[in-house]
Amino acid sequence: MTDLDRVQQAVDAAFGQAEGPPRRLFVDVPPAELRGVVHRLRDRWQVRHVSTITGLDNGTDLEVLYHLARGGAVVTLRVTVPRDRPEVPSIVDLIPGAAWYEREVRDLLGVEPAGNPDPGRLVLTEDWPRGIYPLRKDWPPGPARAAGEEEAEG
Amino acid sequence: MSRIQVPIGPQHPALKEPENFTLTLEGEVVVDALARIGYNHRGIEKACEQRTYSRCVYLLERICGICSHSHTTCFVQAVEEIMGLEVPPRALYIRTIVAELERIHSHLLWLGVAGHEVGFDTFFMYTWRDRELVMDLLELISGNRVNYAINNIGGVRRDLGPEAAEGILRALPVLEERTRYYQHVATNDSTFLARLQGVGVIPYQQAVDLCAVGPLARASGVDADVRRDEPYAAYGEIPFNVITHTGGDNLARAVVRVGELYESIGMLRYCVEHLPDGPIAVRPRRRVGPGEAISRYEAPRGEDIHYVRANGSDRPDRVKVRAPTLANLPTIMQALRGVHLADVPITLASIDPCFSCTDRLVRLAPAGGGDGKVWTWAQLRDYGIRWYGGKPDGWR
Amino acid sequence: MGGADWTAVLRELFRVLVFPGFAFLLLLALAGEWLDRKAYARYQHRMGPPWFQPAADLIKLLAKEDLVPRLASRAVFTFLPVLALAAVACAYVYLPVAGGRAVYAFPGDLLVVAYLLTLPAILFFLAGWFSGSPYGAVGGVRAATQLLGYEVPLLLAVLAPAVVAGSWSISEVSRTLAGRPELLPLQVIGLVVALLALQGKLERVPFDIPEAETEVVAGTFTEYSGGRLALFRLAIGAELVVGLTLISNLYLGGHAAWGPVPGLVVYLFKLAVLVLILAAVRAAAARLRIEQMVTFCWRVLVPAALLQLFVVVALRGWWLL
Repeated sequence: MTDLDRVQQAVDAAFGQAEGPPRRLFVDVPPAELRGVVHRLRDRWQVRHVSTITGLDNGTDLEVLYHLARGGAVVTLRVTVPRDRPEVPSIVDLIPGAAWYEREVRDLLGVEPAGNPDPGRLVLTEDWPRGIYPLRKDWPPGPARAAGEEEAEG
Repeated sequence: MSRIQVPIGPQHPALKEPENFTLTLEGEVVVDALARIGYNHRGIEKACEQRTYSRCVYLLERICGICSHSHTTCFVQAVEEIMGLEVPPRALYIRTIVAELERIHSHLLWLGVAGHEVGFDTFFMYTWRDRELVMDLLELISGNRVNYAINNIGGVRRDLGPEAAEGILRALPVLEERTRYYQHVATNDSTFLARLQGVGVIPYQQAVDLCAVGPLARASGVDADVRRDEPYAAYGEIPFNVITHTGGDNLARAVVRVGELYESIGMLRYCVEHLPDGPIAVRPRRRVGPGEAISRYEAPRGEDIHYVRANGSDRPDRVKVRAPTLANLPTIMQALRGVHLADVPITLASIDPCFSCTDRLVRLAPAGGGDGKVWTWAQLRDYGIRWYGGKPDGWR
Repeated sequence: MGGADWTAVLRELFRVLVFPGFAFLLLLALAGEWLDRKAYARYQHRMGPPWFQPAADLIKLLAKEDLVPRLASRAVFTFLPVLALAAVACAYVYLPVAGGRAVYAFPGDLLVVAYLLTLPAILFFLAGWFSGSPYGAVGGVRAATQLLGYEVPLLLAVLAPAVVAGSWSISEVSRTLAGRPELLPLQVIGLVVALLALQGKLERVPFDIPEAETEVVAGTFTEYSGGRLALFRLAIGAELVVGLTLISNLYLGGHAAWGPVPGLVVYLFKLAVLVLILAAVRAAAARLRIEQMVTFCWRVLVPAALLQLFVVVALRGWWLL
């Protein structure tokens, strides 16, 4: 059984239940299969709403979480990419509403959405240095810790 | 015809917050619109990772001045889900009451702004006067007019006394009567209609494709409302209707919001009359997780979503905030195509944009500098001390 | 030259420069602006400014730094506000004020006044166009476009009283209509058209398109500041008074003493009523788009003005004379 089959079976099982999909569903998806899964969710299960895309740094790898919603159900596709080659396929052509969220993840974590038509910065300034991604854990922490106020709170 | 580019913002009277839109015009008609956001980034998501959970609530309250309660509720719900906390019903009702007051306050504010954008300042003055009623109620309940600080992980911080309950019930009929009047004005005043009707149309399919949320989506016929689809707080027990409209234009967005005012008034009455007894909070543990949760919330402007990952310490590993304005901006960029320059302000305003919510990251590049120098906090602090140190005493 | 001549010259100068001329006009402009702002505020459930606010604003503006954009021509930038105020002040001397007498009158002064009142709009256009700002340019073009909308209905509207009275002199028209107040109700349509067109001329809601704050910042006046802006604002205030004085002369039977009530009081009363009406229009409407405004003028105001003209011509032909 391929990765795609395994993921799609999990999705089909969740959405095919008689009582409807569960409120939350987390599915691990290999980067190569992301588009196939989104396609299936969209066309077979009418999951057309990208609520947002979360990028995060778990210390070893970068994770990109696609939160797709239908009614009260949110299915989260978790794509893990290595730090040295952070790239995911873009899903903009499948769900146009994902365009800005992909750009946000690219700005803040440096995960390149291959195929996103807009190369411009979304939230960072144009002169923000290349290769510095503020939401990665190795970026200097923010003011609270540096100013020493956090410790005072105990 | 030759095309010209007109910048709207980052400083412009039509925008109450800094954001930049580049419009390409053919004559007076917009043929292309580009948004450049990020002017308000304050690093809130990163800052959350440095703070304990209870201090995150305090920080997230300040994402936005209007829907401050939305962000804190959304966040504490996520944390409570990870912890498996059972929040007392009275706390859930109080959260709902504050949420619906906030919605009325936000929608009245929007009606006024819409009036102002089309030069109808009398409408603006009227709605903002009546908004004071709601602000007073919020002050009565929480002690604050804007950042209510009512939420805590595990419940709410202040109980709703009989005086506040009475105050709400006394104000509701007045608000209802005023809402009826605004509905009449918004749907009958000929100059107001002339500026709203048929302007900035978003068809149903476009709203779905671009993942629009909130009143913008509902005005295009998308039947979606987190309060009904995934009831949180006390919404599962309160009867209400989801207001939709098929017009898709600026008028439809106004009509949807006025309709939601009525619903909110009804929900408030129900909440106050059915307020359960009991404690208002449970005490949470200091350390959370490990675990992750997604929390959704129907803010006045649409679906607000927070993702929280906990790693077992007293600080979150990751807090992700997606405010409704970010979800709606791509849609409204499409709506701008084909409208007149004169209709750009009202069309932009029709999503009730909140750029503070949209932008959350810090920008440390020196003003005017193109060299892309990044300052650390210590450098910034030193710079500040040096700058103010050279000034006379009155500056401090 | 004899002593009697000197007195005459001095009296003449007094009438042109002080009362009922320039100084009186400026005083009225400030008072009219105050009443307009106060009424507008009260319509909106606000307190509104104290009586001295327009004067205080004027003094404050005069004391402020006055900037000229690098792209603008300094001479033109200075000259335009002065010319606007001068044009309006000139028009005022032909209007019968207190007691129904104008400083000057000649057959045909109605047309002179109408054209003098057109000048400010053209000057606004030039001011916006030559201020070197895109907002000013857009505002200026809108001011000129708007002129094409309201000017024709306004001219048609002032034609009707002239036809009734059979004269092109404002003093003559005013006197004739004051003598036959039963004719006044016949001109209600003309009065409404003239008031709405004047609202457009003064660039007030719903016709404040050239200065639309949320669209073009301050339009024509975006780059103006300090004393030059003060002059422009004074010119607009004076234009309000002059326009309303003209309308009150043509449609409300002039300003002759009314029994024991002196003419000055009659004049101020009529002026105040008209200011209140215009403020109400301002408070009750949203701003139109430029093409909606021009369409409204040509589809509604022009036919209405023509109907008014037709009515008076027909009546005059059958039984008025």
